[in-house]
Amino acid sequence: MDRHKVKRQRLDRICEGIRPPIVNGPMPARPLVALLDGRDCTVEMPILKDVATVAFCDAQSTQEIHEKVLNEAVGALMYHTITLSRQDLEKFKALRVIVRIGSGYDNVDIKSAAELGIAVCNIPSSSVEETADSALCHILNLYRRVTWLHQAMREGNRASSMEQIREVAGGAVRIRGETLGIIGLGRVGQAVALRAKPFGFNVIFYDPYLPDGVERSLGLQRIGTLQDLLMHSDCITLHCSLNEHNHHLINDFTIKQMRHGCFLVNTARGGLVDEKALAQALKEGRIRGTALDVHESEPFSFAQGPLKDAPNVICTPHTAWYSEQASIESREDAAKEIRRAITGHIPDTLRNCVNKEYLLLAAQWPSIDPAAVHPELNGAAAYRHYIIQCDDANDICRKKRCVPSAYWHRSPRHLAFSCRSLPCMLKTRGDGIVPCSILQEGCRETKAYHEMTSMP
Amino acid sequence: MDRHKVKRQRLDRICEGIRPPIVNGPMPARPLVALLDGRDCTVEMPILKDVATVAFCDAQSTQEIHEKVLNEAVGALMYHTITLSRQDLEKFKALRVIVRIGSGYDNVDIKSAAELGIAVCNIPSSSVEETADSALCHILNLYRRVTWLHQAMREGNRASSMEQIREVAGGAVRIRGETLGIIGLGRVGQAVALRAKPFGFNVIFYDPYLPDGVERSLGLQRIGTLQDLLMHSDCITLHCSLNEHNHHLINDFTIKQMRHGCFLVNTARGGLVDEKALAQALKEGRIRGTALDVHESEPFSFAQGPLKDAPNVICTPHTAWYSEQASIESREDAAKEIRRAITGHIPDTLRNCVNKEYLLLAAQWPSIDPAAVHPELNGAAAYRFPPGVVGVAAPGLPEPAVVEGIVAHGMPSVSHSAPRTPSPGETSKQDPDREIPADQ
Repeated sequence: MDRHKVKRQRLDRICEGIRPPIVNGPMPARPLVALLDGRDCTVEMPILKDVATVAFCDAQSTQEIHEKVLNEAVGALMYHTITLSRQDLEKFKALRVIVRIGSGYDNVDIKSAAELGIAVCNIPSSSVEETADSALCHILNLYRRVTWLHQAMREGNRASSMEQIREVAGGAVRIRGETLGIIGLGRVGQAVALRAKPFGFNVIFYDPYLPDGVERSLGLQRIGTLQDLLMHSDCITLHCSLNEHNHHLINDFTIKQMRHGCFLVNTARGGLVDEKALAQALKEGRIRGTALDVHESEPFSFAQGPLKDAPNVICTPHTAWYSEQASIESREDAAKEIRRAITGHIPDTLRNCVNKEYLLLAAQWPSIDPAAVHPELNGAAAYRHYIIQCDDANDICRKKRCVPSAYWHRSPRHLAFSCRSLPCMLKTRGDGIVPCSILQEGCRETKAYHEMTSMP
Repeated sequence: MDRHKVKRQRLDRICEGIRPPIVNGPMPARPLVALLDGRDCTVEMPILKDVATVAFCDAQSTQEIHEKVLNEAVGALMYHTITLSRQDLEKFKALRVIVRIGSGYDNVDIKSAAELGIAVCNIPSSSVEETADSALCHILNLYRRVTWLHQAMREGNRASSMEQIREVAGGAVRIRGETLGIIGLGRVGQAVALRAKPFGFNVIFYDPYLPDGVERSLGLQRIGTLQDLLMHSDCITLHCSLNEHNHHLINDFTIKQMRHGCFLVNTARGGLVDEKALAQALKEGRIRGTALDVHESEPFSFAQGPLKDAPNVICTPHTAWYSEQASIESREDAAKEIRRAITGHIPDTLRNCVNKEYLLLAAQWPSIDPAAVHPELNGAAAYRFPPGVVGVAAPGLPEPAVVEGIVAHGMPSVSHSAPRTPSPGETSKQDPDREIPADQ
């Protein structure tokens, strides 16, 4: 392509504010990491303080975020209470990694993030059992009516004779023989299935993404279509993540496919359920009761929204995930992920990067001649790659890694590097380092990337 | 013994209102069966209508029971809302069998009933799973706080930021690694243990009546003493029946043996827990939360009683057992038991007679010559002794010493000679000093 035309395109794009996705360019000595929608960094601080500056924004939208953070933050930590659309992501000028402290990342536009060179990670493991326990608690509360009975007693209801006891507990159903339909058999769905079995539930599930065979591992029955699952379930529980395909999965049409008088439990995402349709079904009795931890509009209030007059509703304020240990674990894991991003290689050193494929695709930016990019762009001076071999003490892992020199020089004695095959510590050895000539074995970067960033 | 002295004793006792326990005397053609503390007999009627007349009393004490019923009722059906002490039982003149529609029979004095010749039965199987499911629901509500969070939301609490979410949910604890201590591993206790395991609970139990080996069947850890169980549990759930030995099992002293901040769940009987001590422990935080389906004084009300100011309490009005199927099943089974009593032999044809030993013991009444009893007593025309009693009461009056000897040895020649295992609710005669190793 004509060099001048390329240069013009490049300058045009720079003026538009689009920077080429240089994911692993050098960082400032102590990059800025910001907690976007919270105030408490006490758990993350000890893990990050020697490699980063940690700040908090306590914002509910990007408009509330300070300009300095928007300009300088290299890493971001966030919960579910802030949304990052493409426009929000474009406000950040130096951002490279976002870590969602929790498992759902539907509030971040991960594709746009990848196009902008930002890796998005989540922490999927901390709250699996808490969420499953809470889901079972919701299911049992619908079947045994403990929450409503406690509420009735708080309101002064007294049941003295057997007839009154039967009346106040009316609607409590025997569980053995009932069918529990799980939509989405991920980590939480599997935990729920195993907990539900001893109660006598016949457990079935629908999951279009799960490979064959998992139902055999756990001894469950797999259903091929959503409609079949809805038709055969007495109690339906949602455990799928929210994406662009399943918004309002439970809507007027699908509710009509359910059995009359079934239960619905949602501890996944509010966007999966159309609350207007749900309220209507509750009023008509087509759904006998519902227990929701998540709602379309949070924070939820019984005084507003479509559910305000609906009967037989149990709600909790997005707390199914919470226990003190889960909270601390997820925050520690998130801080460690940020640390890996800062000290290592994005996205290789990240454990739970959710937009990796989009990132690697975007890194092959077709219309720019990498050599035409000015070496000073993004401070790419002294930018070198080295091949380092994993110094596994057990002599098992000999995986080679291509590591930019910027990181090498920052911590000259010991380069802690999380090898993907085993949790190894890479140690520096003077004789083990060789400069990377193009495409050494094990190096994942593309040829073009190397040509772009190598120095004579 | 001198015949005249016997006759005088008999007349004295008759005047006192004590009749000899003639358990299987003839009944009227259509005996009267009464539902004591309820109004609805629709389920029982189809099963009993061809062999009995069914009536209901809807009473909360025997004072409210009509005289006709007291005089004529041969069978009684009852729930947990009426109590029958010895004096109450003596008011019934013709009663032979009481069937408790449910599993707990602590509200009936079964020993006195046996002495009066009344068999007491229960229906232990209908609500086992419902009660276990409700107990698990209570346990999960304590750990995940769903009931209190729902209550907070009903009261208008809004949690918008993460800090607010953590604050409103504060106290929610991770379950894996917690120890669940089950007191009483009967039917319901075993069902609870099996349901609790997948949640990650370490399940331990204490049961002084259970034979060795059940813990091996289910893969649970058995603890030898109550104190050890209390000291090692993070959540304690009661699943034992109430008897004369375990009233106020959970009292100030035993609460102090529990871990600080543990949970307590009771779906068994209110009398097991001293509510004053419990309220005090809740206020001081020694018990972090409690979920009760049963109370010392029922019907329970949050406005009265020792628990009215206590924090962190979840209560339900004795509904853990209830589901429509369980209710119907228990009533049908109770009606069938009454039918077996009427058409068959008490206590042999009864499936769940809980005072059988006392009945059979009482039937060997030492100081009466059965032949000396007036044949018209209790309409006892054409009166035949059941084979078991005949075996013991040989023709002619045995010497008192011999009779006592026979009584002391139990039942040497009864027809049902198979060894009986005590039913879970019964106080069996196991040696209380028997060593049960704690590290099974």
